Amino acid sequence: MSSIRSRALMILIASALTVFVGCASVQAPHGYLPDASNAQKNVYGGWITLEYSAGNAVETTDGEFIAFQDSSAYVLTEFRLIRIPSTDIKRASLDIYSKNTLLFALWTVAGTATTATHGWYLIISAPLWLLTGIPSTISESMDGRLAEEKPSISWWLSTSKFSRFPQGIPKGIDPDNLVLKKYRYE
Amino acid sequence: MRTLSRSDFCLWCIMILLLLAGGCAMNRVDRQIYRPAVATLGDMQSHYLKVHMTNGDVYVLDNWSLSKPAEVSGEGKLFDYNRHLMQSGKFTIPFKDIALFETNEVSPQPQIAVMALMTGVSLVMTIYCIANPKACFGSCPTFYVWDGKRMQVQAEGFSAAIAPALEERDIDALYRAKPPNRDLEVWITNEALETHVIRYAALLLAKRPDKGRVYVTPSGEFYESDSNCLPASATGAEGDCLKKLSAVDGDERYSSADSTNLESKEEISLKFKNVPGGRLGLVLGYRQTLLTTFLFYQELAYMGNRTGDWIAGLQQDKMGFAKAIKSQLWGSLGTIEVLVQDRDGRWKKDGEVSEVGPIATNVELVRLSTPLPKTANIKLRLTRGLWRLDYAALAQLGNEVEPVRVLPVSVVRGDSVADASAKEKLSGTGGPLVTLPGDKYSVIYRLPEDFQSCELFLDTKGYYLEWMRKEWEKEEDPEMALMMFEKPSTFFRLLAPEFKKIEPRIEQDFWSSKYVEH
Repeated sequence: MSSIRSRALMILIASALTVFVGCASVQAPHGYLPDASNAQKNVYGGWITLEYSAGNAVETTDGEFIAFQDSSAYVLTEFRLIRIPSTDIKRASLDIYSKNTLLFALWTVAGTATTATHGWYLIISAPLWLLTGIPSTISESMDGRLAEEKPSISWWLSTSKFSRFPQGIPKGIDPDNLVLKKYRYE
Repeated sequence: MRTLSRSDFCLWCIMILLLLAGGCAMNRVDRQIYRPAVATLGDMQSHYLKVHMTNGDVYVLDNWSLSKPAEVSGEGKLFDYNRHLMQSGKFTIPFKDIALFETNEVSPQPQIAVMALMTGVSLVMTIYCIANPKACFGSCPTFYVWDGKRMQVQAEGFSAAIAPALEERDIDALYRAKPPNRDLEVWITNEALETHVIRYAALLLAKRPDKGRVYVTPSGEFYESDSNCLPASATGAEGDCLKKLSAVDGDERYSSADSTNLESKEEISLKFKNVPGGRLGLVLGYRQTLLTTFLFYQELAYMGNRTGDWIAGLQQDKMGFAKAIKSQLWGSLGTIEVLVQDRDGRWKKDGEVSEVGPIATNVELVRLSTPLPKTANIKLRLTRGLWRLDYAALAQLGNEVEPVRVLPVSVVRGDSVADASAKEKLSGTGGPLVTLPGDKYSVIYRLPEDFQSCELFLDTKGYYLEWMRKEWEKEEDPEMALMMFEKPSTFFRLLAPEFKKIEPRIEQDFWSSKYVEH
């Protein structure tokens, strides 16, 4: 009997893991984003990923969100500062601080597994864990991220506070001299 | 109490670490931007203040304040436009050089509260189930019948038949049944972690006397009774208990078990005045406490992984197990013995009742062969903490009657599936009906037109197999398992302290842990 119970529990946990695979993943390089607590002291812009039209092709670029001004987004990549007119941008995704999706997923899986100690009460407690754990994990995976299809000007204006220069690129700064935050890339 | 396995313990350590990590690290940030011209201290609520300068520099200030008009001061760091640290210390910054203020409010993730709550609930349930595995799960085949207000559990079938070798017939009075019409519905449910094997489930009908009832004896004889005589007094060790024995109403008299010996006996004294003449019987409404359930589960735990072998031995009657269970286990715990004081003042045993099972109240008749004086004294001798008494009355007996047997006319499985095969099986013609946890059958019996003057009894036969729980296996101890059969008195003395630990809450735990609620 316990093997039936264990099997049912394993199926539930496997289902949860399958759902977690679909959670939003962080696109910023490892080590770039601060956690939420340190985001208040972070002096860099968020990590932005843009899909945009370049002639007939659709290209993707990512890097530090430097500013939004003159109806264009400025992105500092590994190599240089790029300006992309907002009218060309098809999709924007901005990560502001690191997430704890893995922690939530582990918490949910471990919590569901502990219901094995609940005897037949697990019929209630295991689904309850999944019903609370999966939405919490998905919600966490979406937290600290702003994403938009064909972002409007108003979206950009409300998002620019997460750039390095929310006031716009100051006059007198040579764009070629801007450097990206040093982070440990893995 | 059992202990956590190593893997369960590790899992809970991980859970605690996750809880701590979650509490420390899982926050969300609300960022706001203010222009110096409109910035006020009231608006800007943040531990750190970021001051974006028109030249691209940024200050990150701690302990900041808008101390003077058009000036912000605080301690912190200054970074250039490439975010190289330029200076640390105290700063006073005039508004005229400031492009924007930035505040960040950090608050805990709301999901954390939900996950922490679930962790707490889970932990409580783990502790609860570890502390009390023998009360965590329900027990026994159950039968529900309409009592005028709701479908009420009114009988439990063959509760002592815990193996094929112990298969037995069981007749239970449906004493509180109130059929709403000629089609009496009976729910047969399996609410426990058991396999029930039911040979048949028939209804027995006996016509009641005008103002009386019909009672069944433990040996299956049926007697009419015109009137009952309630005791003038009823006294147990605790004192007066008359009120609790005056009606079959669920207000029961029971005692706690002896803390050193589960076989210890007690007596309840009943005094009857104006005892009528003629043949008499004592009607008792009773059921067991959960003491036998505890002992049964404990014995299974001692059998552990070898339970199958023990049950197989029981089936083949090796070592006289079946006889041992009947005579040693049930026999040692004892029955409710009825002792009668005859007209010469001598006490003699005049019958007994002993149906096993803690769920439904049995109403049974003990025929008394001893002539009673006008004022009669009767004693009930019973094992402490084993029985719940709901009713006791003297009945003036009329004729012995032969009830009419009624078989099911239809059976519905679950809530909607007509099951002709189950109908055959419950009628005793199509082999046994085997039910598993969660199964429910709605059985219809067609009553005669004068059904309201009929006494109803449920006649069932079968056995059931208790399912082993993983947590029981850890207590495997063949010597203790054998002790129950060979030296039950020692067994009951050794287990007394264990039972006393859980006795105060076992009833509540048991009823709140039914595998299925119907």
